[in-house]
Amino acid sequence: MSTSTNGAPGFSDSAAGEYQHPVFATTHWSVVLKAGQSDTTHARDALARLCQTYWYPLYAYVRRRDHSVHDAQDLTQAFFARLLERHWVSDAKQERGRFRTFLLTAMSRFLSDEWDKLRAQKRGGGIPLLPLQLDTGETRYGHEPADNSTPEQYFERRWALTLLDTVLQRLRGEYDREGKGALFAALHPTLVGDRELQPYAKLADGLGMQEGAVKVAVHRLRKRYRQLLREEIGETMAESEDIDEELRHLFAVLARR
Amino acid sequence: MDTERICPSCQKPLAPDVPLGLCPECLIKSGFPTGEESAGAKRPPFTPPTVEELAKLFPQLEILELIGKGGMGAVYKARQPRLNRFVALKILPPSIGSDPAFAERFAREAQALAQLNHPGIVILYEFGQAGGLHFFMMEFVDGINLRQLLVNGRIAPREALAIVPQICDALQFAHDHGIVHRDIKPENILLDRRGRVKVADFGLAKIIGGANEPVAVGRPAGAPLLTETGKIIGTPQYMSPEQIAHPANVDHRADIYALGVVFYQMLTGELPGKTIEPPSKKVHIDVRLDEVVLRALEKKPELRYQQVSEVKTMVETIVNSESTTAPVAAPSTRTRADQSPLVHIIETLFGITFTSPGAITLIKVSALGFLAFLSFLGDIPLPGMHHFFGFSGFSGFFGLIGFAFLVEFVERRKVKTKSSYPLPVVESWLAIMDAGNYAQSWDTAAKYFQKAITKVEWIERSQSARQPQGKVISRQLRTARRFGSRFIVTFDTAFAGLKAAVETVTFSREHDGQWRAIGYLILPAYAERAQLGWLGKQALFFAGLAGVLGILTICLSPNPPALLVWSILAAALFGIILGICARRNPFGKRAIKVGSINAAIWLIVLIAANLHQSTTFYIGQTSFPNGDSIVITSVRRTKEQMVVKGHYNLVSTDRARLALYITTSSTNSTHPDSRQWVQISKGQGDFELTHPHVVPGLPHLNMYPVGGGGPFAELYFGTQAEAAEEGRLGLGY
Repeated sequence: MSTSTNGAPGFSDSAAGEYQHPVFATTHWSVVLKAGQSDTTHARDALARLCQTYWYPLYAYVRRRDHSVHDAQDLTQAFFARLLERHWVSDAKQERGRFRTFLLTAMSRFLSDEWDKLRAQKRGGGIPLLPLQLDTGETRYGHEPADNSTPEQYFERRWALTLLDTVLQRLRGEYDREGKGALFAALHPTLVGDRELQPYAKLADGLGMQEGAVKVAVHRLRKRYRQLLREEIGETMAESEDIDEELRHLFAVLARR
Repeated sequence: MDTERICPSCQKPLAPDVPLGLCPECLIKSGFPTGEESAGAKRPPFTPPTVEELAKLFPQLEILELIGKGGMGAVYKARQPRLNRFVALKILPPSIGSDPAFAERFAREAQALAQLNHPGIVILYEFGQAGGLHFFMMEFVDGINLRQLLVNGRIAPREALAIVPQICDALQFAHDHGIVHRDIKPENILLDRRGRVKVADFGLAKIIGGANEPVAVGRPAGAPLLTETGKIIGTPQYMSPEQIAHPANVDHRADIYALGVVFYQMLTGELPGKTIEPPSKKVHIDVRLDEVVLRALEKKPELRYQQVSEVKTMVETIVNSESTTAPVAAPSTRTRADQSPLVHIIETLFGITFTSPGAITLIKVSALGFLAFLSFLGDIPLPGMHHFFGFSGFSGFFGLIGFAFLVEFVERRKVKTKSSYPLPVVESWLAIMDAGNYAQSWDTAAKYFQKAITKVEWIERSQSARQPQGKVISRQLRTARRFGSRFIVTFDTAFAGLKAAVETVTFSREHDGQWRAIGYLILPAYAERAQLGWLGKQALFFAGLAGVLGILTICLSPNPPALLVWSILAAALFGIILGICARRNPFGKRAIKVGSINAAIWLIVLIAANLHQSTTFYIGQTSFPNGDSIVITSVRRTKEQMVVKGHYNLVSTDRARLALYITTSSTNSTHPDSRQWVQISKGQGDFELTHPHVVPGLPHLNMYPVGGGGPFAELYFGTQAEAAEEGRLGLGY
């Protein structure tokens, strides 16, 4: 690991066992909240990153609100464009510092207030500020199972699933980069369920490893997954918020099904 | 088509959109911190590593010495040779670090702490693990901690009152960033060599503690609590009741309680007992401090101060009022709102609130009178200016304002009984404003209000001024007065965004007998004092302006324009009026003095000049070809007449007529008043002649032959201006 980029004295790996690289940026959403009215590049990037990750639940929500495909695409694009240019975030202090709730509230407000105004304007022109794959959005939406949840519930569920998706992709990416792609592919089912009840023997057989080694590998995988999950949740929240509380909320949302 | 899959763990069916084919519920469940890692065995007591051992783990640092040891770890003084600065290296006991969840909390909290960049907070430079030990690297504070100061008992109240506000600043800063200290105690309050306070170990209790730990009691003072698993959560003597009962649910008010304990200890040298005795009973201090300390020590968080900055304000107020030379000071913690009024619909002039519609109208009309001053500067001939000559500037502007004051004063004298106070109406209107229904608040306001400001404007103004203040935390009635058909109420209000404000609501009773809003004003609490100061400065400005104009007048003498002199008086008078309004402010007092001096000087000058002008005269051309003579002894002019006294000596004839004329550009006076002439006989004598009106022109005394004919002796006289004029005309003698 290299020394940190801002020139602060870093401890080389030889000195310490596990050196925590000082990270000077905090979570994405807290950066955005802190920036408030001022439009720093840091804040813009953070917000853009969050939007890139979580646009799909919002699109699904809009579709669920009975808008046509074309309208939903326009709306989503317009919403994000507005979000990035309009400093709505200074209002976010009213919400409890969670990007998820902020997004939902802002979108429903947008749909009721702004959409009519926007319609009056001419369509076309204007370069989209975010490269959202809106055309794939509809394909994904088409594959969604039908159920009778409200648009808000739908959004929440989609959000939770997107979050999990993102985390798992990151986790897989890490393992892939270290050349342990096969290991991940074999072990990822162990992310679910109690640690004691995993089929270690079977896995060991399949991987050609000692059972003890498999246990260690699984432990490491689950631990890293937890870290990433909490980190990803943290990105969408202000620093004062409780990650466990958000986890409980997401659990409740998914259990509703 | 696949058969529906089932999660192997929870046995629930899996939807096709699940990530990586895994059950999302169970995935989330796996995200919760597990209990499996917590150990049951007791940890061995922590022996801190020696300096040599530590040096091996931190080759980039020079470890100098162990400076402190406690249950929370050990602190060493070290030096960073590359940066050539001292740092404090805090090593945590290994038992704490073994919890895997700890590492995540540690990283996140430490990042948050690293953002606390404040002169009163010990900066966190680095954190991490070395050789299995978790460490913090912090700012090294060269000084002592409060515990060391308190070891000899209490400290001087003056010192305590100097320390507490600094702690408040640091705490408020942290609270504003969403960080609660949770372990405020004398050991964590450091004082450097210059007496500056630095608060240390912010948030560490949260990092290390986690939530919902059982409490172990019966610990010696200053020692932190350790649970069975070695988790530290705080120091019981300084912990608020809610922190002991539900450690997970504490908010920033727990810090306020701890501060109260520390404050109490600083003042009395003891910890507050079961029943808290007021500090003023134990030591000789200002009784008002009791209230501050006791309120911070309230068992229920809702009864305490809700913000640390309030404690600071209270302490500073008490401190400032004790010193005799304290000027009217602005507070050191500014809120976002600046000093100007936020929302107002009633007219304010020079900081004085006018509420009666009559007075307000007068003020608006007075603006016209101000134009008269401009004419003085640019010589713009305004219609009718000639008539209002020295008075338009004065009576137009200041006069009408003076009238407005009078009207307002009279209105305010009409005070009604308290029973006819429509307080509920005011409160329900305020409730509408609080709820953000600005449209509704406009709809229910008085017609006068609606005429003065449009609905859209009102909503906009409210949104930009009232809405950012947020919801009302507390609102206490301060004064309520009724003047005839108007009702003015003031409240001491704490908003979420403006902690100390004064709301002034004005209601008026309309023709239908209903009370409706005509004015709403929010001012930061300190603005009142600041307003007074501002008013005083205004007063002094006008009083001083009089002096400046006076100098200008002297430069322009001996013929200064009358308007200038009147302006001096007007400015001085105005300065005095404003000064009286702000008489409690030193500027106001000074304004009264300066204004009075200027007014007195120039009033005297004006009177004297008038007198002087009315009595002085210059002799102009004379013609006494026959040896007669006329001598003037006095000339007195008033608006209506000119009286001239003197002696004559008639030698050339036996009888003559002596007359007083004023040659004007139009005609000679055609109908001479009998007082204008007198028959004289040869020899010497006195005369007194009166010209019935004073017109611009050249006054002269002539002797005429009795039968008629032109004058045979003439004497022109007049003011200096007239004499100069006459000289120019060259009447040819």
